[in-house]
Amino acid sequence: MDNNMANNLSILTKKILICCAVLILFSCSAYARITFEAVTADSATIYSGDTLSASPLIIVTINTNLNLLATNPIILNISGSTTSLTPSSYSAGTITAQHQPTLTDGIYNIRVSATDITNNTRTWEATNLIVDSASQTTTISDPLNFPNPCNADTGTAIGYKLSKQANITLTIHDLLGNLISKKSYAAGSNGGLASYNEVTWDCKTDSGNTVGNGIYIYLIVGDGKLLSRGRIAVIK
Amino acid sequence: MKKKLLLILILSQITIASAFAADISIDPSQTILGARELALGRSGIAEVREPWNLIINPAGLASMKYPKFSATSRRVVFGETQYINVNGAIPTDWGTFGLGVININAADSIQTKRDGETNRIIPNPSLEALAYNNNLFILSYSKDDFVKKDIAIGANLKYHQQSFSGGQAINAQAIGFDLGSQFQVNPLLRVGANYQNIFSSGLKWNSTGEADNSLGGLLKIGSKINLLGDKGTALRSFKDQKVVGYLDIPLINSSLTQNSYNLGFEWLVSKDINLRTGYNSNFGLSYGVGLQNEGFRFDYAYAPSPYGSGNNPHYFTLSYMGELVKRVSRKLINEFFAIKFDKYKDKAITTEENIKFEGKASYKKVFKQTTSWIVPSISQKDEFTTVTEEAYIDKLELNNHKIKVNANATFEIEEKLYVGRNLFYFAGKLPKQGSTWEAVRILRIIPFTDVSEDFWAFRPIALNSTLGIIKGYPGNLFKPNKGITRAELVALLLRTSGISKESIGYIENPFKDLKESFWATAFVLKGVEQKLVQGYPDQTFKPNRVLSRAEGITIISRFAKLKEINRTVFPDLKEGYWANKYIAAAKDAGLLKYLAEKDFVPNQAFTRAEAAEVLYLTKGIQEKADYFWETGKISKATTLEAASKPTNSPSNDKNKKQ
Repeated sequence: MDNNMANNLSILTKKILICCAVLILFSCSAYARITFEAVTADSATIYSGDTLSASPLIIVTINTNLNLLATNPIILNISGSTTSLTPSSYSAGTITAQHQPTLTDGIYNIRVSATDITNNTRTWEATNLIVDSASQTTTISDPLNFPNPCNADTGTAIGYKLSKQANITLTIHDLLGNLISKKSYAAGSNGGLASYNEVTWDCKTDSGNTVGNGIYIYLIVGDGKLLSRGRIAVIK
Repeated sequence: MKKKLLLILILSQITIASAFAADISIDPSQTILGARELALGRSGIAEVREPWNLIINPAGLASMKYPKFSATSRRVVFGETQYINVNGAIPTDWGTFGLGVININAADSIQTKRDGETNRIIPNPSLEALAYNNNLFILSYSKDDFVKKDIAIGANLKYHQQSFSGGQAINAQAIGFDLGSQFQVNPLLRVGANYQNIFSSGLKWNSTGEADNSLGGLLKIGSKINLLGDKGTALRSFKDQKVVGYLDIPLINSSLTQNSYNLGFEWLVSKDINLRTGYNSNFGLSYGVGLQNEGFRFDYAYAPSPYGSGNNPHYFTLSYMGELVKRVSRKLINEFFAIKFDKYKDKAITTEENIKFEGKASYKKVFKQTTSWIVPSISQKDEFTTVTEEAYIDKLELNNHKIKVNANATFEIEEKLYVGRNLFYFAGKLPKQGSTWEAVRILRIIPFTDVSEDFWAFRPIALNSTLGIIKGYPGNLFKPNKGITRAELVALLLRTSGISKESIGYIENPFKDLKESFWATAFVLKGVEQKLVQGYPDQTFKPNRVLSRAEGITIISRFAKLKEINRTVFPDLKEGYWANKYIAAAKDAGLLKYLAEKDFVPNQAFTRAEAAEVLYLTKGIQEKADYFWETGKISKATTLEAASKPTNSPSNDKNKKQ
């Protein structure tokens, strides 16, 4: 074998090794996967523009196929204030971490970053989160229900945001004010969360009779005061 | 028997409603939103004659007597629903017919979807918002005294029409039937029952799958009790106050409407103002007021929602209440004092030496009273009557001397009579209302012995002799039935004219039987000169010849200058009789009233009594008599001045306010 051939073979080998290394590195990167299952505050998934209570319990749920970094694998950044969260586990799989900050009234951005052993970092962010500890509870936007129209076969979900958690009473009336159904939701639980809430109605009266086609008015009452109302169309 | 019948009626109404156990639709007639009824806690099953009876219990319309209408329009349920209700009823001879329309609608039910990122519910702008409309038409009939007295029955035939528009255009119709009854247990208590949708066809929608919705039945019983009112018609009576209580209870309910117990109280403060309060077991306390005027009633209710603040709690309803209104008005048209005497009248003639007055002193007001029967805006009927109110005078004087008046305004007093005219002046006073007087003139005469007070010509003889027109004979005799001679009558008439024997100048005497020494020669010649009489063709006058009735009436007719009338006025006078024109003139002038319904008998002797009677009725003698009554004096001429005020009277103005 002459020198030229050997040189060529060496160069080729190096290229192949480099390619392999690149491939290995690439495949290692693609294999390292971190996904945010949910980031909740007081059990409600956080989305940009949501409201937070003054002391929300933030729970981060991630899924990773690699072990987390041994130190500070999950960082919670609330408008520049960072906190390292202790994960429930460092092993691959579904991992949670939580933190309950105390927030003053204002608007916040929350960023959560998670890093695995390969230093693969994933970031989750929600912006313009509102903390308002005013004495009165208000809904942030007009409540809506889905599906609309609905019927007893589909039921309907009623979604609404609250500025702070509160004891909520949801009453459903016919168009002349007669009470059809009444449900209560405790503050801090679904329906009374300081965030987005979704509750359901099965298109039936409290005594179990299905209502006929028509429009029904629902009232969201908190602290004895009407917070908001909406219209549900029932069409079978 | 009544109780058994009521029980049967109630039980007969407890039927199985449309057996759709699920999918119950709203029936607008099952929710009460009239302001009056809201204020009463939504009660009214046993109410009567209210426009909203058409919806609450049509049997309550049965006893209506006049049309009634009601209208309500507002947004309800925190402004989400537009509600309009118009209803009314008209009574007829065959029962009461009613018509009602209710409309409810709501819009802007937004169609939605889920956000792809957040999975939250968001509007779906590609789909149009939904609107819902619900119309109900009601035709009502009710009848009172159905089968038995005090039982009323009513029924509604209802047509439901519902629809969606916007994102989905579907509609449905249904027929419903209500049956109601009421029973007046006694004057205090009325009970009723109403079964809404005792039968209904169910709503058939034309959407996919043709969903059937039921309307749901609702049976309620109720009562109305008079708590305060007139004795015998209420539990208690208290100073004309009227309070009514209502209580309604549900029995069967398969509707969307929750069971509720309704309690209400209404205080009829006056005929135009009512105050109300009520309690509904679902909606709590409510209050209200009703104002009525000219057949229209405005009702207001304050009925807050128990489902949170922010719902408009104010409700208004305008109704036409066509009740018959009675309105009485008076206009004073006359007022006068009156002193009335039981026995003696003014210008009485008596032979008595004393007189006893018995009478009553009173003050009267006369009103023109108008009673208007009004059905506001429909009809008005006026009745006119004259009403007199009487008060009593307690201060009475006779000729300026106070006399006693009894408690019932009667009085009695005895006075002495003098021969001639006696004037008795009664004056009465009422504080702040002036005074009045009444004059009584009594003529006392020394009677002729041959003329009794019950003689037919007593009065003219008494007056004529008092006036000096006719004299009696010696011995206080008048000889009323003696025939009057030609000379006597002529002399009588001329003396009446104020012509004395001495005042008659020389007149040539053509009569050969009339001596100068004859007492009446001058009067006869004067009478001939004045064409009162004329002689006979043989140049005699026959002064002592008794006049016939025809002759006497003729002379007096000429004396009174009566216009001759060619007419036969008595059945025994023939046409063409020479004296008819004088007799007819005398009768027309009212001088022959004493011959009414009798024959004239023209050739009968003309008596002194007749002469006194006929002469008395002539204008000249009447004027002398009036002057005499007024003044007590005797005029010497037949032409007299107008009557002046009585002697010694302070004023001739009656009812003068001093």
